Amino acid sequence: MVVMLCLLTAAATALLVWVIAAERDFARRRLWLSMHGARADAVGGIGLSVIVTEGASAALAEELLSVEYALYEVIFTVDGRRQAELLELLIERYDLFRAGCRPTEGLPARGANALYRSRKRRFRRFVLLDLRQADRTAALNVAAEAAAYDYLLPMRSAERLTCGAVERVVCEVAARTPRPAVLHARAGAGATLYCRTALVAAGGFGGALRQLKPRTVICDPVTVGRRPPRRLRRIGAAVVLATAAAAAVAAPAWWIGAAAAVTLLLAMLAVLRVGQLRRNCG
Amino acid sequence: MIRLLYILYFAAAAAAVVLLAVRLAGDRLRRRRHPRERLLCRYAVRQIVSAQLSEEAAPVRLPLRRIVGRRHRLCELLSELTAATYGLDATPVRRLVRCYRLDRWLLRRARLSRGCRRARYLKWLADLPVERAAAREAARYLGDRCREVRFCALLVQIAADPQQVLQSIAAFDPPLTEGETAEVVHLLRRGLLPIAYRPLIESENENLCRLGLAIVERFGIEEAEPTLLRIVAEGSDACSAVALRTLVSMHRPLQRREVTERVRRMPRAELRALLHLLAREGYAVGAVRHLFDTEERACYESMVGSYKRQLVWS
Repeated sequence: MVVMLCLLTAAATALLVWVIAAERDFARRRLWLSMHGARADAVGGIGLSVIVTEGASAALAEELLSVEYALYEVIFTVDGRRQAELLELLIERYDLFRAGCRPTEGLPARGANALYRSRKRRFRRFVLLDLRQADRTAALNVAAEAAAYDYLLPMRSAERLTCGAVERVVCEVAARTPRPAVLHARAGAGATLYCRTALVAAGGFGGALRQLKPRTVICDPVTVGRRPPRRLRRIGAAVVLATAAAAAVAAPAWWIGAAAAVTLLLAMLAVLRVGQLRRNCG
Repeated sequence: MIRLLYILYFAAAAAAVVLLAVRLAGDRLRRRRHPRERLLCRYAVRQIVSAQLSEEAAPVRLPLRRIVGRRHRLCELLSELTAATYGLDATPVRRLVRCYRLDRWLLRRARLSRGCRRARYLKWLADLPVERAAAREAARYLGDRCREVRFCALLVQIAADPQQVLQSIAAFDPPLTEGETAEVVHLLRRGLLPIAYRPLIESENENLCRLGLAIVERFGIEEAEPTLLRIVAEGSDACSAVALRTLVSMHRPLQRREVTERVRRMPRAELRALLHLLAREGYAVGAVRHLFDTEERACYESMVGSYKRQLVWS
């Protein structure tokens, strides 16, 4: 019974620490939203290249290009043989021309067939890479070679940028001296931002990324994946409540059952509260 | 004894559950009220802007009575308005601050909170027309443990006494980050910061030098080029890097002895970052050939080539 009490206390403490960390990061996010100068300008010349290696589509390109931050670009990698239609669609839609494509950083980047840029000024920040049969690491390395800005943000399939994500991460980078080599967003889909210089020094995306320093962790979501459908969430909540009720009824003594039930309730409310904070753009 | 411990644990956990439930419910209610409040706030903004543009001294009547937490919303509104406008008359805003006692309310909220929440209330205070008494009370936060609080307290001092802006910034310790420098430059829009860049970039103080460089970059002041070259040659590593970046962003010619010597001292990683910056800014290969060795030149040619149409490919 003592062991169970210790476990319940540890679980409740961890949940409360999680909620407090999320509240603190929410307060920090709201503070940055009120810092108009840091958000309005290209702070410290810090630029961001978003790299999409999977799940590229015209709709995603449209969405990513709607970000208003000045020093920002979107790099799509597609396989020209398997996704010929998508390639043609993007070339036509954004009036792309084929540019020179030679590696410059010495990364293990193979399979690059062509690089496309737009003739139109309003699509200048869109870069399309045609790769042949490249795995994700090779595609990321090719994109890192082609990237123009200091920080790289790889995105996975079905991920989306949250509201104000780009300005938020730039503010976080600009708030630290020296600038971080890696910025990891623990919440949401778990995005990681890499400093290109440090990445190249580590040998690219297949290299020793865990040893990159300094590292910064933020608890705000930068990207989000697909949320579980509402019915699943309701079922999950019902299961938790049923388990709490069963624990209360089946426990050998009423105080044990009550403690287990209130811990489960606390867990459920903590998940809801943290989710609420992370969804709220401020 | 075990039973007592369990009961105590239950009481503490139940209190935490109640608190979380209250916060969840409060947030939900706030979201439900949000569309209606947004309409009222839009009307309030129109009233304030009309009063600022009008020459009459009529009081501003705002429909905020039905808004829960109206002082909170009003401070947020005035902060956004101040950021989005330039050179408007501050008298109607000053009257609103006095009528709703916003400065007292913000100082009280800052006293009761910690960390970034406190910094946010101080930031709002800095966005309003601040009396010196309020600034004196906010001055105690200049020694706060949280850096964001210290910086927002600095902004309050600057807003209250713009004449002392340079002394306040010079005295701020540690050196301003890039984000903080951008925030201070933003004060130019409210006319609180002098555009006179020369005393700033010629100053020995790193904060003032960075601020001056940010002003030169923001306004593209080409006549500052000789001073920028001097900072590139003789300044600290941080300031000389910023000065070099400023020269590049203003598309100034780089065939200068100071630039060549500085580039020669650069570590490889910084040099590569400079190459990317030069390619983005559109410098031709010939214009920067003298700065780099053969390997870097080949790398730069590839970078420039990636912006040009390739007519022949294998």
